[in-house]
Amino acid sequence: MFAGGLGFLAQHVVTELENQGHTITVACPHIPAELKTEVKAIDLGPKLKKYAVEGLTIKNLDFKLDYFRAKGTSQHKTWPNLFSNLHEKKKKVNLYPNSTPIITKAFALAVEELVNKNNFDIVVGMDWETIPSFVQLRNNSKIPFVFYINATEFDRNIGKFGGSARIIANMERDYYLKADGIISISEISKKMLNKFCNIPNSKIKVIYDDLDFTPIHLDIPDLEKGKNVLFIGRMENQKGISFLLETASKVIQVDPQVKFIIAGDGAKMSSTILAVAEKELEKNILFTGWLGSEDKKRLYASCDLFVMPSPSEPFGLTALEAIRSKLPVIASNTSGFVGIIPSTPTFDYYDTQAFTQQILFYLGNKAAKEELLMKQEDELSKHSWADQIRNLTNYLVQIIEEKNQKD
Amino acid sequence: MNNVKNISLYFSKLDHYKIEPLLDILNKPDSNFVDIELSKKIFKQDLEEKFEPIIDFLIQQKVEANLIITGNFVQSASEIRPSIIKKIKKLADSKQITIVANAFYGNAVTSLYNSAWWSATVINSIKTIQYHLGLDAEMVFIPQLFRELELERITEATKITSFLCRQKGDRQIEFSLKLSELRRFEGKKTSWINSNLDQECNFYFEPDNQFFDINKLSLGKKSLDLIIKSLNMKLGLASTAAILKPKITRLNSSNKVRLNDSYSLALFPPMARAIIRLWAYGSTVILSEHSQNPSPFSQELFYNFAALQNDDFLFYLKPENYSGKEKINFTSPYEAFVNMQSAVKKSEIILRHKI
Repeated sequence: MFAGGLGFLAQHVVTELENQGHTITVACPHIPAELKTEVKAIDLGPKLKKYAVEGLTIKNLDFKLDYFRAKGTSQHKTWPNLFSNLHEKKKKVNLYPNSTPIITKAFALAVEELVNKNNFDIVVGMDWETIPSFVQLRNNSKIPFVFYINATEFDRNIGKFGGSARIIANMERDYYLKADGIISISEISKKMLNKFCNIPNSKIKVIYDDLDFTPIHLDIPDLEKGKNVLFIGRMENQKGISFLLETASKVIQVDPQVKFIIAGDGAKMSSTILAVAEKELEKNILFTGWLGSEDKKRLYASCDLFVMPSPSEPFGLTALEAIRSKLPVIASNTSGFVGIIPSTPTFDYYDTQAFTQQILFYLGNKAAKEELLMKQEDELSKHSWADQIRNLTNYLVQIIEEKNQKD
Repeated sequence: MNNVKNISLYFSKLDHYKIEPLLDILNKPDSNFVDIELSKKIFKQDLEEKFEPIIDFLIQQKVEANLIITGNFVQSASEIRPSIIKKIKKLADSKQITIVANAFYGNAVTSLYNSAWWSATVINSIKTIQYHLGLDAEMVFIPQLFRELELERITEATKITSFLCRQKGDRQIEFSLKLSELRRFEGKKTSWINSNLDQECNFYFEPDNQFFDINKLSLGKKSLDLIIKSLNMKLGLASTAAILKPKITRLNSSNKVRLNDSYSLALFPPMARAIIRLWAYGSTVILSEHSQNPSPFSQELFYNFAALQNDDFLFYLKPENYSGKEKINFTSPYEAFVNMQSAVKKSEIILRHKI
């Protein structure tokens, strides 16, 4: 069972588990009406309405809030998206809706009801939003519970760590440790869990991430391949957007022909665009705004180098998309995917000089770029999602057996 | 400078830009970033609801003003609402207004970085005004006066020697200078102006509180009627105040005139500066092709790009204009910035492909 807002990963994991003959029940706190036929999951939304009463508490759970901020106000992480009037994406995005605390607690009660009515072997909760579910099940049931951690709150809030982020991080530190097992998506993520949540390495199983991605090789001719550097991601501190600008400034001083294409939007969009204007980079840094999947694929096909300067990137699926699109990748050494693509040239995320040198080297050296891509493609071809899911099921079976022995 | 009035009205046709992400712009074949149909529709409404009531007010209250006007405004208004042109002509014939020619598309900002382009579009405006109004412009609008500005391109082609400029503060400043006196190189006088082109020019600086940019005052505002009524009151008050208590400073000696050698972007906020730099870059690229190898294609690109560089666009780059009270077609100044940046990029690409 999966919950939380990690749709793509959950879908990918569940699909492969089913391919391998396992029976999975997926429960979501809400499934939009337009997706109800597409998503094979149980919508616990109606149950949530029943349980979501203000002042709801869960025994042994230190999470007294109903709302992150005063009721009726919105969370702080909102921003106007570029060209939001032209696509279906929401005009403003909340990282977490203000009512997230009460929703997660009500979800816990609905999950308990579902578990009691079925005969599950194990429950897998995704990220901190399922902590209340874990505590509620632990209060009243002996069913094993494993957390599947896609990102910690520390990952999401590099450089700014207060308010609701602090509350969530404290919960992660206090409760992840108590689960029967932890799954992380990379060695980097495992280190973070060990460092910030004090979870022993022996308790963490790494299941390297992957995704279904079929590239297209139809480029955008007007972008003129040759010296195009691509960044795709949310404009957030976590993604290292400020380091990218600093690096771009240095690269352009040496080679004014280099273009940086920034695809995506986010809370840092306005400050990023302002910084581009202030640093006089407007001729060399282009913004696409949010992109649909086909446009994203065409962009991969139109660029020469993919960069990921994230200070904290638990995995970085876009790097795999880039390599599958025949676009070599360089990344910060805090990017999780490097665990399966070790030939990736890396740098400290704050070392803009090293980042600059790598960009200039690979843009100016066609043979080295082709060799890098060849190595990265080779390493990626050895990464098997089916094997990862087999490791996952073996791990879950082991947890179930250990739990049965203890009980 | 007998005909200079105490207040100035700035009339221009506001263009409405197509709002498109970079990849959509790159995917389309043409280079026209202005939504021609929408611009025409809104201009028709503006003529009726903004410009004509203001002109009627001038007529009724006998308010005198300098009318800074673009060729594009005159040409479009002649097609859509000829009654306005007749009224402007009547005001000009009776010397109640002084016609100040602006760059054709309101692209006066081009004077900062490409005086050839700017003067070509000013001359185009002057010819358009002559054609539709049957009268000669008496002055030319300049956004900044600096020593490197090649005014002789205007004086030689049009014989106009009076220039009007907007400035901060509340004092009007007037002075006359020979073009050769205007020029400096590293603080020293130069003689590089051709003596045949040298002549005395008059400069008139209109302070902010007597300068009324109609589009900026009313752009995006929801209750247009109230805005126009309030504007008319302000016009009346400013006009009366200027007559009763004029604050005019006349500089008689060229030594007292303090002018920068080059143009300054210091008064513009960072995003506006970036857009002006992009325009400067794009216009240099396009004009280098157009001047060396003129063709219908380069001509079309030249005019499309000239229309892009409308000073009015800079309004959209100010975050304070997105307070939620205004109706603005962009959702944020950042979207406006990215839209213009992509449009400039596309122009460059189109040109490169054709070459």
